[in-house]
Amino acid sequence: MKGYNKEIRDHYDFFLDLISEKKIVKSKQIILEIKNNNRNWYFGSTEVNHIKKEVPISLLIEQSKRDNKYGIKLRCSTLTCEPFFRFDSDGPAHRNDDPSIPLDKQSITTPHFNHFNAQGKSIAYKTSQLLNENDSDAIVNDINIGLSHFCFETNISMYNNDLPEVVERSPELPIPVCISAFFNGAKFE
Amino acid sequence: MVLNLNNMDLIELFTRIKKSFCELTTYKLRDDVLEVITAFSTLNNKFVSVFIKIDSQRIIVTDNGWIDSNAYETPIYDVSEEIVKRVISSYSFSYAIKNTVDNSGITYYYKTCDTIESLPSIVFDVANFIVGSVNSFCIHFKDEKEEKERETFRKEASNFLNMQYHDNVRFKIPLDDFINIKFNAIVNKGSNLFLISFVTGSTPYYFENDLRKTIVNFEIADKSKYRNNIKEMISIINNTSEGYQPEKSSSILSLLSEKTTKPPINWTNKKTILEYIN
Repeated sequence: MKGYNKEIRDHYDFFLDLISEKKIVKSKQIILEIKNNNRNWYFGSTEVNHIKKEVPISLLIEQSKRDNKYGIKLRCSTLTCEPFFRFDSDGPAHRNDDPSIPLDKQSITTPHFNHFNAQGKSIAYKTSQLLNENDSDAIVNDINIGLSHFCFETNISMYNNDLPEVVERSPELPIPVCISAFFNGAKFE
Repeated sequence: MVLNLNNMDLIELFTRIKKSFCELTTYKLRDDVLEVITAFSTLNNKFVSVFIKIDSQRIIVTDNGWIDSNAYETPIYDVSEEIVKRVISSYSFSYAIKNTVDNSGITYYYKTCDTIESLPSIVFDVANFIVGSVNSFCIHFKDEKEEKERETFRKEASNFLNMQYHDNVRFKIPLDDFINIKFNAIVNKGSNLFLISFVTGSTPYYFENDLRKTIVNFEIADKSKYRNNIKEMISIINNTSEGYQPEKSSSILSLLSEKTTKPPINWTNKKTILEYIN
């Protein structure tokens, strides 16, 4: 399981370019709808255009109905089938498994970004905003603030430099409010 | 920092290791729930979290449903399902882990204790249980080449059907009255159902097993209460797979032809399905 993404390792410059180069998203709104294969999740996506290369890039957003945690991913099938860049608002801490990093610095708690190093290994990191408690809370609790941060980190905007936003398909869909859903009615003996 | 190992006190080494281990353990406060992010990590490089809540004079330590909801993002191998169940069952027994289900149907694994003195031991058990369970999902118990073959073909065939039938096609679903029998796809057109099964395999052995499974699934579907709604039972054969050897598998292929309502479709002629479902 401690594998490497060979495609990213072998095309690392292309991978870096996909992240850093300007990318345009055409639609202002990304609509979240209940996932067909998992009713506990909402899903929405839009296409993203690299300004210099004709490559298919998708921006994918998922949000859990259980606890409002969300993930934002970029995928490019020309590079590799798995997302090449992602943000997780919540969930397990990632281990940056590298002996050159002191053990107590290897744990990167959520919220965090995930990308790949030159060896094709998945690496998590926090931006200065994610290290700041107030900024981090705002990002975790409001998916649109999280999306803006993601767009900034990956150089994505609309043609007019506006940022896209997540909207609900139906009015009952709660997006920005983070409710405490821990244990969610589970009964313990 | 470069250490002078010749003069290094072994106890100093131990102290450094212990400090590093301890500093790895951290926490998040989530209202009235404490998440302890442990120093235990899984094969897919996730640190295991346990969730602690004080409830009616006892302390509950749980995984917060993270195993069942796949928060650890382990790969999902259908063929491993039974083995994973056995592994989780063994770990549950060894660590005396209980389980319950929340309002959304997610299973929570947990232990409880009555005293603060017992809490670290309970946390240790639940964390070990989570590591073992999550790791069991991470391990390939099946032939990797076969897995890849199956997954690649499933994706290609699903994408093809998705492009043709959009919202009218659903994947990996059963008929309501035989929930254990899942079809790779069911296309819904008005009141008509079209059951579709994919057949592939990296070797003749796996290919023929898939053929047998498809035959049995169609036989069972024939007994469904929805039989009158089932317009066609269709198989898509991956004739580009290494396991496809029609001469060797001729008897089973013939049997399949008897069970489907239309001749099996070879993947290289996949557009034939447009004539069957239009």
